Amino acid sequence: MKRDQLIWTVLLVIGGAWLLYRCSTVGVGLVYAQEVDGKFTSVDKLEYTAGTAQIDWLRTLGVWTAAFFTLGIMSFLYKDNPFYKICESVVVGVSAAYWMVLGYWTVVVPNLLGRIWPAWIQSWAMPGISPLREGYWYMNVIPLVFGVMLLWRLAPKGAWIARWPLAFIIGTTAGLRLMGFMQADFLSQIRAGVGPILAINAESGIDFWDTVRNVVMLLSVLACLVYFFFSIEHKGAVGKVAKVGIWVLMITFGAAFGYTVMGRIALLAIRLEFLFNEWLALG
Amino acid sequence: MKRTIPLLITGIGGFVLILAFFIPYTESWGEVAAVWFDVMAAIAFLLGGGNLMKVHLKKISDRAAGWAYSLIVLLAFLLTLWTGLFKTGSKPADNQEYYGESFASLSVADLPDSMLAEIEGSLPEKVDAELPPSVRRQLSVENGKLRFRGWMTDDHVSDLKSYHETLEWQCKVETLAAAAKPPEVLSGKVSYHSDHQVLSFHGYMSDAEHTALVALGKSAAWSQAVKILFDASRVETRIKSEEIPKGYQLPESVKNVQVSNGELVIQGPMSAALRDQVAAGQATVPFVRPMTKEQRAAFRREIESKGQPLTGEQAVALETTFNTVWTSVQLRLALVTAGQPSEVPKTACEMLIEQQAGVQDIKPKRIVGTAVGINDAQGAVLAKFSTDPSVSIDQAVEQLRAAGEFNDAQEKGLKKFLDRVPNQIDFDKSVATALNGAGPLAEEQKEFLLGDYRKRFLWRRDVGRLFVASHVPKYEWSGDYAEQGTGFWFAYEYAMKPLTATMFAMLAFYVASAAFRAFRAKNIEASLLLGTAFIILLGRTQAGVILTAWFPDAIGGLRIDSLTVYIMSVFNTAGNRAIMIGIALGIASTSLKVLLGMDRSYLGND
Repeated sequence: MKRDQLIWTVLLVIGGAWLLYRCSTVGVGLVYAQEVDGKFTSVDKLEYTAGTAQIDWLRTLGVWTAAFFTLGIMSFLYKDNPFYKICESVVVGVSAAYWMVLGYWTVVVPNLLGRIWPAWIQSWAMPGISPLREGYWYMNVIPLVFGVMLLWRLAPKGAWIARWPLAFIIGTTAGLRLMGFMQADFLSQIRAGVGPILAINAESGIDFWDTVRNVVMLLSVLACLVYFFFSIEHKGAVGKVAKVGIWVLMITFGAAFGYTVMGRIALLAIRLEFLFNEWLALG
Repeated sequence: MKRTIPLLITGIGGFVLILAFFIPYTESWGEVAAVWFDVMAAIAFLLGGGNLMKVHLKKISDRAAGWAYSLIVLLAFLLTLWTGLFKTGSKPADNQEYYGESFASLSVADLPDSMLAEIEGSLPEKVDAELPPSVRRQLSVENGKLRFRGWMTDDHVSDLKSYHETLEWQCKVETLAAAAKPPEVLSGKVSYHSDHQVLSFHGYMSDAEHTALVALGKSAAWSQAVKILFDASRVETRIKSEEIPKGYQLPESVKNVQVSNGELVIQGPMSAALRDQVAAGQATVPFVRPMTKEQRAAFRREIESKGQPLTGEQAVALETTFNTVWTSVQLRLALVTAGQPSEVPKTACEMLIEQQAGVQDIKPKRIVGTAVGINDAQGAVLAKFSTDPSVSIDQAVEQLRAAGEFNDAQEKGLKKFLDRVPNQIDFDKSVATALNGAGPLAEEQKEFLLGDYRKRFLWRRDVGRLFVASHVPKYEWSGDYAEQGTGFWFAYEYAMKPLTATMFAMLAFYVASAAFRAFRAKNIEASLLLGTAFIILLGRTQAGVILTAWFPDAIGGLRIDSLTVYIMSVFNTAGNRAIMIGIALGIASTSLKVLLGMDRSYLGND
């Protein structure tokens, strides 16, 4: 046995023994559930102590599974290993199915099948909708046909058939994005950037520091835009202004980096909280 | 054909959305295109799933390297898909299940003529829209008469009123609704759901109600439907109940439920309202009043007498819980609010009469009553009532009336306020939660605080079981696919969520380690990036803030937290603004190239 294998084996045995000890004394990863109107909802341990809840073995299994997956992904910090690969495979399979199911129940059923065959959909899936067809309902046959054509890509022959719906997706994406970005980003950012430079304070007149802030902000935006303007060579005065633009962009990237790292650390803290509080019941 | 039509579809799809933005008439086209886009995107996920299967099945069949992992991918995929598509474990949706109602199929044509209401009039002119779907099957116009077959519900009235927003039409709808009502003896007990083509009866059917229902029609279909409802409304359901509260008495108004010999029995289905009524019973648990210092100390002594003394933290938690109880000031405020005149909406017919009388500014609501406050003498009554358990609600009302003007709305307000405040069982539970969170509690202490709570809960649980057992599910598949307890929820909650969250969390290490290796303050640009990242990271931690907290106010702007705010609000905003403007221009030009057919790369080469 190699040295690192021995170390890991010893560590795993110690960890397992400690887990067994915790299981037999305080209970590890136990989830309690309360029955109300035939449905079970998770509750805290006090409810169990009060005699109003019971141990939910399925949810308990869920917590252990989640702990296994969390540790499995974290094990990649050491090196690539079969546990990590199992977790990776599960996440691929579950995510693909998750998005398929989501799309099916939230879009395909209500917005496609529910419009073409409302009475049928009402009879089993969505009792709340009207069984009567709306005017121009037959127009919804077009996305249905496009959908079938899109799935044709899976067939060994005639992959070009999927181009029609793909063209529709590309076209509508382009249309939606064009208007969305022009309105939400381009115009609104310009509108937000154009404002009074002089900051007036009702009590003391001109607010010096707010005015400086406004000037710095405006000049920074303009400098960045000059840097992005590639139709003229960045030489002389333009080059110097573009250089300032790069500095502002570097500060922006630094801030984005800091925020990203902090966001990820917050996520890590949540996972550790899960392991220590929910699973090991140490909190 | 292979390239021209796709190019046309791309252009039309995109330009319709752009047109819809500028021309109001084409707005609905844009909405349709956006819905189709959503549908296509959802179907693209199906394609993705299919492709995933294809790739991994091939890998397994070829026994390629790592085929076992492909098998895991497929198993995870198929299991999640199965549980999601077939909603395994999902209960029918509460809001779609019509608890407490029995159904019998009956088409609109089979409804008897006694259920036909008609008034003089016709549909409003110049309305292009179709009739609302909820009334389309039941409303008709014949021989200058508006006819409604069935009984009109509030939803029918609301849908029909919004069909044409004139007072004349809305008044006609109100008149028709007044005519389309079931007989008095059946009021609130029967309804007809035209969307489901079913006649429905609420709860248990008495002999008088049965006779009245039978008398409404003579056709075979009607008689059959009534018979089905009668039988369904008398089906007996019984369950064992472990914990019938001592001295429990059913409310007098409840006739179809019996509690005896450790059994709960009901005839017919149980509505949510009946369930709550049965669970509450006749006896009421006293509400908690604000405690005086002595009462608080006595309560604490009582808890401590059942076990160990409370720790310092538990004592604080107990005090905090005491302070959450209502006060006489809050009660007084509630009664002043209840004493204000109320606004009652006018009917369309009332407003029409005003309009015809030439009233210019017609108000949709009228004010009822006059403002009644709470005087000091009444305030003193409330103060005494809030701390003296010997004063009952009825006595307090009597004293309030004697001390000054006190109207019925205020009496209702008083009872409503006291209904909402926690009762003794709720209060004891809050105390147990607070104390348990702050330190250990002995078993006897827990029993003292939670004993009644357990009894109440177990009784409520049994009533809930009867509620479910007496119900015949109408739409088995109407539940949410991601509801708690379903297989799909399990896959999301215990597999996808921890896996993706941990993967993202791991990036913290990789980003930090990559930054450590790559970041070097070689020039001004790199130094700015490094310095900013350092300040932001430090500024988001407690340590960073403490580190520069001692800076005097004169240079307070240099404190890490102030610097962070300044960087974020000035330089970061400016940089992001320029980037967003650039991105928007880039997307606009790329989109136009695609829509005009200048960029055809998405069509492939063949």
